[in-house]
Amino acid sequence: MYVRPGKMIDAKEIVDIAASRYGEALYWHIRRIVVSREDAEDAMQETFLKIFTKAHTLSDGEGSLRPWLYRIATNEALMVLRRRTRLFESIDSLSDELCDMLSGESAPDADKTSVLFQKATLRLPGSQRLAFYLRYYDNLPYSEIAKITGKSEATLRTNYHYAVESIKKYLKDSTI
Amino acid sequence: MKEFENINTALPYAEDKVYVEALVERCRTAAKAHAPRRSFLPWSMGIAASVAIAAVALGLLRREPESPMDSFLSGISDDEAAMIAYVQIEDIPEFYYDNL
Repeated sequence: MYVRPGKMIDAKEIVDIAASRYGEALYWHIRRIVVSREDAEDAMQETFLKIFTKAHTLSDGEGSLRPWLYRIATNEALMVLRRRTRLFESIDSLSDELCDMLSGESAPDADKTSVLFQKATLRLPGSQRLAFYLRYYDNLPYSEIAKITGKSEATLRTNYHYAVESIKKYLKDSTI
Repeated sequence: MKEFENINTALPYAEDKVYVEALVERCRTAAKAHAPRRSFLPWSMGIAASVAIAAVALGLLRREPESPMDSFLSGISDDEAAMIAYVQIEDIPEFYYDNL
């Protein structure tokens, strides 16, 4: 049972809050990671199922809800990527595949710069990519990203910094 | 963010807000019903495989043991089989009786 000041709420209510407040953001977070729309739908379904079934593990306090939701969504998205890898292969090895998928999934009239930018993010190592997505797109504070990823804030700041530098270099090299 | 303010950093996908809202609603409903939507392909393939295995197993159980002749004839045409039968009946050597 999740406790909000002065009120106890059950799993169904947590699902409602997750859907109404964070549903769209969680979808786009997942979509950025898995790229494929079909995979994003599956990961979303699994995320909400986990939210419902694991609601009892949510610790007390309003502040813990958002990182908890993002943590579940991130795990489900990474599970999808994990299924695409071969034995002993890391998720980072999927960069080329994800970039190809991005071209196929992009809208016909999509801005080329936007596609290039996304490809630059997909070339990042996993830890940098995750830190970048959560900080840049979801605008989460490092303290929350630390709860989601299990990394220290200092590490995340470094990851973010290197991610930005790598993206800039990729864009510069690609436009020459 | 100031880092990429002159670049289009939006995702290049075509989904609109209505699609995402509908998906979130489906997820909310499915989670609360504790009945997640599964992809059609995996479970349909599972059912098809089960039916195929059952059919093969049933066929093997119901099949009568094949006689050596059936086994032999299965490799030749009907005409050849008829010829063999004809030869077997007609060619009883008369000398056999003569020599008795």
